[in-house]
Amino acid sequence: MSGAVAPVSDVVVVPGAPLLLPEYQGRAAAAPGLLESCVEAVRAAVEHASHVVVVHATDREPRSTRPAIGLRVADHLLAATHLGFTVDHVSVAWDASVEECLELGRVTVGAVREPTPAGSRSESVFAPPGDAKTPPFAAGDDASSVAAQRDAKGSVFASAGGAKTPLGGTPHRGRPASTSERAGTTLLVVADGSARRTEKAPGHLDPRAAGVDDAIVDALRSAHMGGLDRLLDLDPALCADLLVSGRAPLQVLASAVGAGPRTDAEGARTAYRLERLDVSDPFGVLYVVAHLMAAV
Amino acid sequence: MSALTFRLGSREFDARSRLVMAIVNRTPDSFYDKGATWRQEAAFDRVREVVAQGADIVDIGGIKAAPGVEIGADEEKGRVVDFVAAMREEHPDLLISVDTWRASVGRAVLEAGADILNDAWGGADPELVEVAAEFDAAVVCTHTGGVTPRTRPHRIEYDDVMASIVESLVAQADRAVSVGVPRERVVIDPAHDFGKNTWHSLEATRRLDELVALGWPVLVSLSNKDFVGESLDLPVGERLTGTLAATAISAWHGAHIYRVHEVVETRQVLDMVSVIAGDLPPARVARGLA
Repeated sequence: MSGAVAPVSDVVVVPGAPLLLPEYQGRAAAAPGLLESCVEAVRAAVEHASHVVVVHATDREPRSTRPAIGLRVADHLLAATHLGFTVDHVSVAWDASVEECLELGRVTVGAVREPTPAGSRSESVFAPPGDAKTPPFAAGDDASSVAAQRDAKGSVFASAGGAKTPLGGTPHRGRPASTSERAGTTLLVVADGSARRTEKAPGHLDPRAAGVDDAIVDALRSAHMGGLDRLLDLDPALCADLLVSGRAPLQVLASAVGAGPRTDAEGARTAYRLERLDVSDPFGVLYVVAHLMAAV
Repeated sequence: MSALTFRLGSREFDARSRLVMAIVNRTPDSFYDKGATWRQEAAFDRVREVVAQGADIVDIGGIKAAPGVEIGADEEKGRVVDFVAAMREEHPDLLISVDTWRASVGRAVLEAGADILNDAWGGADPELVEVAAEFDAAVVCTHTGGVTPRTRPHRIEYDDVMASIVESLVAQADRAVSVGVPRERVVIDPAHDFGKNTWHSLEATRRLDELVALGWPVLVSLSNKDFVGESLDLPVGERLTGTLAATAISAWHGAHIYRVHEVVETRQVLDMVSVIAGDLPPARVARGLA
């Protein structure tokens, strides 16, 4: 590792529920307001970013050859922002160990580009529709051309020491910055809590679900006080029992923003403040929509 | 087939449309409601009710189909014309159909604001479609085997009932177009029980896809009819389930308009078939997707 950690200016956490995908929409939304809330949060989190890193888990119940649901949800939400940026997709095994998540988190926003044993990455470009100069989003774009484009625009993965993250304006209401004004990196983390919160939940009721879910929400809520570190305390076996599909991505997130043991000295840790937190469980699955911003 | 477009009033529909036409009788003696909407206020209430229940079209009838006391044109007009005018005023966007075979009645109701002439007796009055053309109204052509209006079928046989239905309906539809009814305003109806025994109506139901394939919008009037009653040996009043089964089969075959007494149940069946057919998304989907 070069010792350089890219500045993560924003972190946004969204549910990975397939019911957010257009191909599963009925005539009325199953969870009214959820999609809108996700798009709002993602838009606020990416409007100053030139680069987005999506962190999602592999499917726990793979039966098809389609891309992971979490990846598709992330891409759908990013496309719905109608903003342009480059995107990395980081896939973490849903049952990855904490150590694997830590390692993946370190390289996720770092300069190291090679795949890691616990996950894989792919790259693509999002562009607002109607912008003829920028190629439209195409999953699986040739990685080298994407990399070249990023290099031409300047170093998105600037060193932590020198980069000043341009975070002017209000993130929720402000006009989207033009591409040249946007230089930050946003982490889009697709992660849910337990799917065993109620009798009618997909995994039926497990009384332990509430405690684990509370720990996740509390960790995000106390991000300004280093709370994200506590995401690393989530127990993989217990979370697997409770169908917490977001455990591994959340631990990658924690690592990516500097939590956990480090082998190199990358300077002061960035603190994050909570800009938005919507928590709901309309179907007995914990949905979290959260937006964290680097406190500059 | 999938390119089918038809127009009723100012609205346009396609091959995937499944519309509910609610029956409101201005008669004291129709077989099913037995005069329930004979009083004008009761009829207005019924129209409001079916509109609230999601009916796309209301079909007003002034003469019961079965034999009975003769009702002249003036008496028929007295039953329906002012009623149609008042309906039009209260429900500006509602599609209004009038069940009549008489051209003079057709003219009066179109002047009062009706959109559709439901010629339930198979062109008994050849001037009816000319009136429809004059007003740019839609017309429903029906197969009756050529019987006189308000008569019951007795010992009628066909070599091939579906062939007779197709031949008669294509001829009527072509004539309607030839006198100036826009092609997309012509609807065809095999007319279950009209000039038909139960075997005939069952065959028409079983082979309804042949009618749909002709490329005209297809109306079916199945509601609580004798072919349902005889199939299940059930009297009027106990034929809803059978009616809905026939409705589902007709919908699967691709019929477009359903003339019914029970709007809520029909709407549910049609929506369910549309969802299964992939013509309509489910209302709200979360199972396995949360």
